[in-house]
Amino acid sequence: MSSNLDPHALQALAGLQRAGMPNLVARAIDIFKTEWPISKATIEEALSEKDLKTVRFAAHTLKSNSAHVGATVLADLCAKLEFAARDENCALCAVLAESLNELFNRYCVELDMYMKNAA
Amino acid sequence: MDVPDTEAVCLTVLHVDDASGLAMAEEVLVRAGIRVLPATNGIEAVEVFRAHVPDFVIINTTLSDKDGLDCIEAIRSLNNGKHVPILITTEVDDVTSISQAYRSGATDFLTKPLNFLALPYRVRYMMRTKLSSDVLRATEEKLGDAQRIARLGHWDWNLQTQGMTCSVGCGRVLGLEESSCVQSWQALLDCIEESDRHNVRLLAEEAIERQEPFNIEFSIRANVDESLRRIRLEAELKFANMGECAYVHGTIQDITERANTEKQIHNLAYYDLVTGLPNRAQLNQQLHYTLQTAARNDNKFALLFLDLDHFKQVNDTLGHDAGDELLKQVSSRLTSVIREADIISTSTPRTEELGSQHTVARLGGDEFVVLLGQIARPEDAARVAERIGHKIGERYDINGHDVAVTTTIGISVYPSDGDNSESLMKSADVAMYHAKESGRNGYQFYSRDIHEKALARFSVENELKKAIEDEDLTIVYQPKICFTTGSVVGVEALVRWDHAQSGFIKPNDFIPLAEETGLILPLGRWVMRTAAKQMQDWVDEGMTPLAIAVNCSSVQFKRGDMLKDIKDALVFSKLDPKCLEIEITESLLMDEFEESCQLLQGMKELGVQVSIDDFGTGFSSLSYLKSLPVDKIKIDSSFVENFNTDAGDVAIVSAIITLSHHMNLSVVAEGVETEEQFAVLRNLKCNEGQGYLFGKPMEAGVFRDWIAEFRAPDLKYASVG
Repeated sequence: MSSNLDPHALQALAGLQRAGMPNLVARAIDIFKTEWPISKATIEEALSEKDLKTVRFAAHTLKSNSAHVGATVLADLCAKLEFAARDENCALCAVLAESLNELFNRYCVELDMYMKNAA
Repeated sequence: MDVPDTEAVCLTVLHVDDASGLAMAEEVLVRAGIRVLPATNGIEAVEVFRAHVPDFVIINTTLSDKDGLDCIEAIRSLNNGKHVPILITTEVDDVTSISQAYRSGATDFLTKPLNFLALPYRVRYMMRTKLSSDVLRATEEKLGDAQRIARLGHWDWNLQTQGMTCSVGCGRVLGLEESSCVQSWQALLDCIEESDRHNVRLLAEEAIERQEPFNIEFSIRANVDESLRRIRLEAELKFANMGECAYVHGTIQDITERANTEKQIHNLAYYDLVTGLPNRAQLNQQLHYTLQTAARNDNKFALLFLDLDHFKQVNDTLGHDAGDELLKQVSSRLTSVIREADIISTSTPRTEELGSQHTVARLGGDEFVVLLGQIARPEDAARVAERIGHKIGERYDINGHDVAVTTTIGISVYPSDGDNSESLMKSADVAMYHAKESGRNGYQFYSRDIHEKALARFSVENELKKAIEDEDLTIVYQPKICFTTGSVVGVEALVRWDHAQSGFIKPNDFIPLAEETGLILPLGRWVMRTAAKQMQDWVDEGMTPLAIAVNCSSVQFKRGDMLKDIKDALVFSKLDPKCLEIEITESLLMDEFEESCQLLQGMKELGVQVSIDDFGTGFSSLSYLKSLPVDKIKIDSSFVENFNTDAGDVAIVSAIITLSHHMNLSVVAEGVETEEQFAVLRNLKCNEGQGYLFGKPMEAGVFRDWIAEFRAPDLKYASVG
């Protein structure tokens, strides 16, 4: 599985930037990184309790955060998890949740690189 | 009212989303001059809304702790949240969420991924729509308030579907329960009082037919409080492309208060305050209608002018309050007499026209006028005057005092005593003073001639009534002879009045009076019962049963219950029905042919015989006779009388007999007085005859002796070659 940042998403994000305000891309990447462990822990706990409604909401948040920073493949995977939770497919949810971390770590590296280059 | 410019207004938006969504939206919204209140879940969102009351709400429907739909419903349930625009953001393929959001109260939706740059424009656009709606709603509220204050409602009526849409005000005006509303023209008609309903339907239909606007007033009984309300409906027509009327739209207004005020004003202007009776102004108006109706229909009517004898003494001794109380009681008695006036006076029913109505009015002081809107003859007025005199003369209890008054009445009759209000009032007034001169407590017609005739006739009428009640009348019997065998085959019963003072009174003098006054009904019943009983008595004594014929008057035929009378007579007498024969005049049958057929059929079913009397004097339609269930016809005596002088009469009688025989009808000739007449009739094959040649009408005892001695006439002399 390869992971590539979607440059259009990051450009769109930069296009929203207000003058004199904190860097919006950096803020979005920060939200992406800081909310990840919280939402991931929520998903794992909810999966162990078979609370798929909570899994669905948490996956939705991760999906949005990923899409905003151009982590398109991760956003698609989160969407699959969200739909599997909606369809109450517990086994699929467990497999999908398991594969999220690796992809997240790779996107973190790429985002750091992006920010470094941008600076 | 103008719509505010949303660009110039500082908007506050409550945005409910996750952190990244909030961050990005905030960038564009703040840049567009919009203040953002962020919330990351539904519970927080509702609290923020309560605290800050934002102008606009954006909700991501996929929220973690509280479903976005619950959040929408919670905001809508708040006082300030009813009309705030709510924009939802949702997944592009989540159609279910979109429709659920609309049901929960969302205003519009955007699908993800969002075009953040376009978001402020969407917010401004939706705000403009919302502000326009606010203006519209405020206008509607004001209009609603105005309609409520004016007790007004508006409606549309689709003529094709007959469906109606009505404003809330309509339900309020019609006094309907809040949950119900009028949905069709028929439903609106059903709300209307029965007395008005037909008229409203007719007026609306006619106006639509003429393609004209219309307005109607009617009464309804409100469901909510059972009150009677007066409603005014105004309507205009709307036309479709082809020019046909497609819709009717209009208003209804509760005008009860106005109608009550108008009624109050009318009452003050046209009714007497003391007695509640119509006053002079109302009497003049009614008199105007009565004059018009009487002139148009050639009717008679009467004015009775009356005052109370010695009323002043009551006022002077007991005071004005007692005087007023006496006037009230007198009014009440007069009204009750007038209510009975149709029963005690006219023999012909009044028409329903306004001008034919009876009215009691108080002119002032102790003067009253009774207007009898339609009378058959002056005696009717005399009878009412007599009744009034009697009723007013009864004693009164006035605040514990026993009071007696009498009244003097002057009567004028239209058209003989005047042809306008003034002359008739004056004549009645003059007549009253004449009555006073000739002693109070009485009545007097304006015309001396009418007065005397009315009194005389009234007196005869009373005596006839008494004679019927006391059975002082007698019946005589005239035989009918069979022209083939010469034997007696029937007898006609004829009534006679031998008056104690006036002597013998001819039937022609008292039968019309009995018919006019309705006395013919008891008289006819008495004759039928007595004659039937007499025949049965003779049969019991050994006489061969004969058909006994009784005459039936037009009044009995039209107003009485002939079949019941016949049944009663048969039960009373135990007479064989085929021995009873009912004679009905030809003109009576032709007047109301359909009804006559039914009645005659009923008589045939009872088994009695029916004959047509006085045949040849009226329309004489033999073709009509064909469809009537009758047994025989009686040729009028006027034809037989002229046999010697008028060959034409012989030819007519011959034709009647021939045609009657073709229709299997038996023919009886009346007024046979000479051998020559008898011979001609036999030659013409007439079946039976009656007349002085065979026997005069005889009292019962005389008839019994006569028939015992009867020898059949020598038929050979009665034949002419």
